[in-house]
Amino acid sequence: MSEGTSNPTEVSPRMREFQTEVDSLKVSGGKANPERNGMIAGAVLMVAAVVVAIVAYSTTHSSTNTADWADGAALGTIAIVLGIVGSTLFFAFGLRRYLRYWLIRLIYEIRGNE
Amino acid sequence: MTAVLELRSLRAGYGTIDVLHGVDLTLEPGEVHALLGPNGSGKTSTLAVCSGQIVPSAGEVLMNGRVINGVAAHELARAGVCLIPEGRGVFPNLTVTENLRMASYGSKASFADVQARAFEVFPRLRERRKQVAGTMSGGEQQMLAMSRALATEPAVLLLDELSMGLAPLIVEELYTRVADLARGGLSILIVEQFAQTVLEVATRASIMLHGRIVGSGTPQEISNELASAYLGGAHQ
Repeated sequence: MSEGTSNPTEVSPRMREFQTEVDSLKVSGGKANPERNGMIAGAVLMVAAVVVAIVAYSTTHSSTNTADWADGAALGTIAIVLGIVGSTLFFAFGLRRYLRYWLIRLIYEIRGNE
Repeated sequence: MTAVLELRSLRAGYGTIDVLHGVDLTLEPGEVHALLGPNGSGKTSTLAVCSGQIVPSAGEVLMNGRVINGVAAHELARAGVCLIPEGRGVFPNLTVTENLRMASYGSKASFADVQARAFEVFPRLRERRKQVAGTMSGGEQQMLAMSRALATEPAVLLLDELSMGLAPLIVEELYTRVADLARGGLSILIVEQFAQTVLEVATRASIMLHGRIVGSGTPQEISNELASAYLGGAHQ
């Protein structure tokens, strides 16, 4: 049995108001998996650190010029910084994702025990 | 007429795991749409997407014809999308009056109006107004949860497992109120695991299984399909 509802052709004042409210919403599109980009950025930085470190090694190894050694040392420092920043980003976003799952699981377990 | 709420090929989930695999669903103005399905089929996750708590990974959520993917839950609530979660979500250590006062803080209506409307729709709450919510029966808590939702003057009401843990008579009474609200123009999407009572007040129903809508139609049509769908029959 279906009970009747309001006339579907009528638009109530509340619905008109709702239309206005919906039209004024700022739509961002959102991100379904917000940690993903952070983890990718972290991984890219770690790979970049390794590449820069190899370049720095080959620069210093293949030269007897102290200026090149200085360049290599600078590149090596950049590689270390990139590695630290990249690994921090990767582990921070990874931990965030893990904690999100943990929280969801905890909520479901609590609900299940109610 | 434009649908108040529409989901198109919606995919969503938790992190990298999708639990909704292409959901299509429409809620017309003033309609009571019952979304039925067994435990773990994705009904609550669908409501979470509709209320802005989960961002879709693909597909579209439309309200009044506008795509609203990614809009924050509090902004949707302010616009008039109200979710009553499973477990009711009342403040158990506050009295009925205090719960209604809390609801009035987020509402355009005054506390007096919120309380008057709550007592009009659910007269039993008037008798319990000084009682701490946590000591009330499950049915009375559900009435309070619905009253708090109505305080926000919603345009779309999302109800999650209204009947959970309640006696059949109370469930019937609550669904009578739901039908009254729909007659007043409110559009209602109800998620239910137990179908019988909700099909009596619904104008349309859908069956959800494994994150997909596998059947949609009038309550009578869905009632006939329900047993085979739950037992993994025709639509698998």
